[in-house]
Amino acid sequence: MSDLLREQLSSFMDGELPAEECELLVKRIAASGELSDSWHAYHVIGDALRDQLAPGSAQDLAPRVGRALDEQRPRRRSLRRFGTVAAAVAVLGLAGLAGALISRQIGTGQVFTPGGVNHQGGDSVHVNWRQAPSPVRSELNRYLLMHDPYGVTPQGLASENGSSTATAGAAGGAPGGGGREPYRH
Amino acid sequence: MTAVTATVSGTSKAEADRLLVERVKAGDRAAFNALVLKYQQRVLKLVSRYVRDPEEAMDVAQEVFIRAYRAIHGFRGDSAFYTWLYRIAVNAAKNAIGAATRNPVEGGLDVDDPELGEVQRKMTDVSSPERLLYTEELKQTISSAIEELPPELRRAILLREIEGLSYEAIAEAMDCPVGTVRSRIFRARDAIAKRIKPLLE
Repeated sequence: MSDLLREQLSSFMDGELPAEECELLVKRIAASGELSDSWHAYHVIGDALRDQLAPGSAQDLAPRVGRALDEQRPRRRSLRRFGTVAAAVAVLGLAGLAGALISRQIGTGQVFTPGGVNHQGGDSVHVNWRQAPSPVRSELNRYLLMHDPYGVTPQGLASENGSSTATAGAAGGAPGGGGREPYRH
Repeated sequence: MTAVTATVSGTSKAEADRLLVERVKAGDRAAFNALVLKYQQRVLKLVSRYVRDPEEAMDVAQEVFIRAYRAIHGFRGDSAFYTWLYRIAVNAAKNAIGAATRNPVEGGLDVDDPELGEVQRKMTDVSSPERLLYTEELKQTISSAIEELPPELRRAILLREIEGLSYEAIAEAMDCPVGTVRSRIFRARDAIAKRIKPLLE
């Protein structure tokens, strides 16, 4: 390490280094162990002359603080890793549960496939749910009611009868209108 | 000594801390280490005024810097870095005293027991002289290194470190250019640093 660098360091700690040289020097103090040692020694000299030396080996503090901060860092990383693993396990669990439900439906013959899907141009798609078994129709109605801000209330639905189609897509549910028609039995 | 207009360059010294703090905020741990190296003596001395046990004082001082590191993003620079650190240190020291008062029984021993208190005092007395001896040796080495310096180097560093004069004020006092003052202070520090190096390792 050059004398010039250490002289800059000495001026810097006295607040006498030109501002344009400070930034680079700070980076060097952080990067160079030797410069850091000089920085430490110069401050100890100043503290001793001003009678500010601590009773004891204060120079042990910096490595102790460094170790303590190092110990905390991996713990946070392992917590993050634990979080990732937990999320992955949860996703796998949900996927397994869904798979088991589908298998059970296949086993009981309750899997429903829409009878016909007609693209009508634009964003609108017409799906014929007429062939859907009763539990599916019931779920479908609940879904449409819960997700349509302009839709009819469950009480209203109970008294209605007639239409057999549900319109899905961006074109459905115009503000102020009836929204998506719930599926009727 | 020639009469001088003493100007302490406090603002610029604060600027040095500000630059280090900015680097710490950007994630530079080594910059934080530089701040610890700079303030560890003062923090430990301050904490030791509240916490008498040397080991506990070290623990509290360590905690001060860890708290400072964690809270550094909240340091806006409205006050000097040391003022901020000082507040953390005083709070940590007071908390340590409070905790000791609330938990008088430690490790199954009643510290209020006069006999045990005596044992503990002796244990502390055994560890303290070693530490005090070390500090004394450090002071003596620095003192003798200063005595051995050429007079112009000795005067320059004493005006800077004890009187707190700016380089310009020292240049005026010593009737020499500021560049010479800069060089003299550096040479003085470097010579003393070489002498204390074995004690700091």
